[in-house]
Amino acid sequence: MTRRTDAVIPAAPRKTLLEWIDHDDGDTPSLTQPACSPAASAFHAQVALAADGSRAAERLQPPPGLRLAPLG
Amino acid sequence: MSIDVPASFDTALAAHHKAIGRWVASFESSPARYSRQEARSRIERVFNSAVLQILSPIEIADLRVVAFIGDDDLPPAIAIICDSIGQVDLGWIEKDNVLSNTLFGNVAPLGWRAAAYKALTDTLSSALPVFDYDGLFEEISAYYWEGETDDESARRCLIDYHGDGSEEFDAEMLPSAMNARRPDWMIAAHADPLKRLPVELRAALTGLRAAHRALKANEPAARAWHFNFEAATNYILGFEDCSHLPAMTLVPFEPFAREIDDVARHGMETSFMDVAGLCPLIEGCEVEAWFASLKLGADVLLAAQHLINLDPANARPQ
Repeated sequence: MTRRTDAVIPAAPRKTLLEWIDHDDGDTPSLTQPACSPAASAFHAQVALAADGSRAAERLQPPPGLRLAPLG
Repeated sequence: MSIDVPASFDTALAAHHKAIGRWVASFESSPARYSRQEARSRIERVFNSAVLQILSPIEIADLRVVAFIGDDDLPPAIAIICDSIGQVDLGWIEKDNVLSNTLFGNVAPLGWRAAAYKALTDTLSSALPVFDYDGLFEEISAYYWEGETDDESARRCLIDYHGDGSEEFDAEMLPSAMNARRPDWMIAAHADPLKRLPVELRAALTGLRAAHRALKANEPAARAWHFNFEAATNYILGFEDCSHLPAMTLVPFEPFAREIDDVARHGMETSFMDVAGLCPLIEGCEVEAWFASLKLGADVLLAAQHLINLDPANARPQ
């Protein structure tokens, strides 16, 4: 596989053994959100519960063809 | 998946990688650059090959080395584990079948075999989890005779246990009977003095004792072969439930099959004490010192191996 030049994720860092031993705390989770299309963002907003719980009581409608009633 | 995507979320090198990694870094002439996983692999590869270089000529026991990560309260540690179980193969030293004179070559004189066996019992336990006849006698004494060692007291214990005149009572289970079952070459008093031994046997014995002295002289600076049961229980999960009996023995199975079976039962059901040494990597005992100690113990085992393989009665004529 050839490496794409516009890769979003940077290549793994390279250090000497002593740098890995003395100055490394491991990977830290990144706070930046991955890029997302507007349609997907709108969908996320629809299913995500609001922080104040105002939409928490709304039931999701079961998809057509699902025989079992949704739990809850 | 793109090679840009890391295959796993990774943490910093663990304590044992760091301890061993410093040793690896100490002889890298031009510091190469590695990804984190490459650094980890490099440390493991260099350590493994250095260990194998020292241990691979050893054939009298299968040894392997394990590095422990430690935790907040425990430093990382390196252990030498013995994967062999049972009697050390004594070769020409235990060959006392009369028929072997004609079938498999000459049997060496008793004084030679006793001298070689005594040297092994004096030295081998410094680098192997091994018990000798005294160790077996002690175990049996605790097992059958409530710690007594003379016939009269032992007989009383056995009668208390089985009842007077019981069919279970067996005179073969008394201390004197057990001692009498030792083949002559197991008795140190039969050993010939060095000056009466052939040159190559004398050299092998001197070499073994010298290697043993060198290992002892190096303690306590480096303790690759030092073992402490309590320390091992801190590192090895479930170790306290294992038998305290060493995994190997210098006692020949044939005359002592019943005794060895009895004392080894717990070990066979769980596991034997198979740690040849466990060395926490604390200040003063770092990896370089550990390797120096590993080499000294390996020298003892190689000298013992040389002695066992020697077979002086069938040596080529000089």
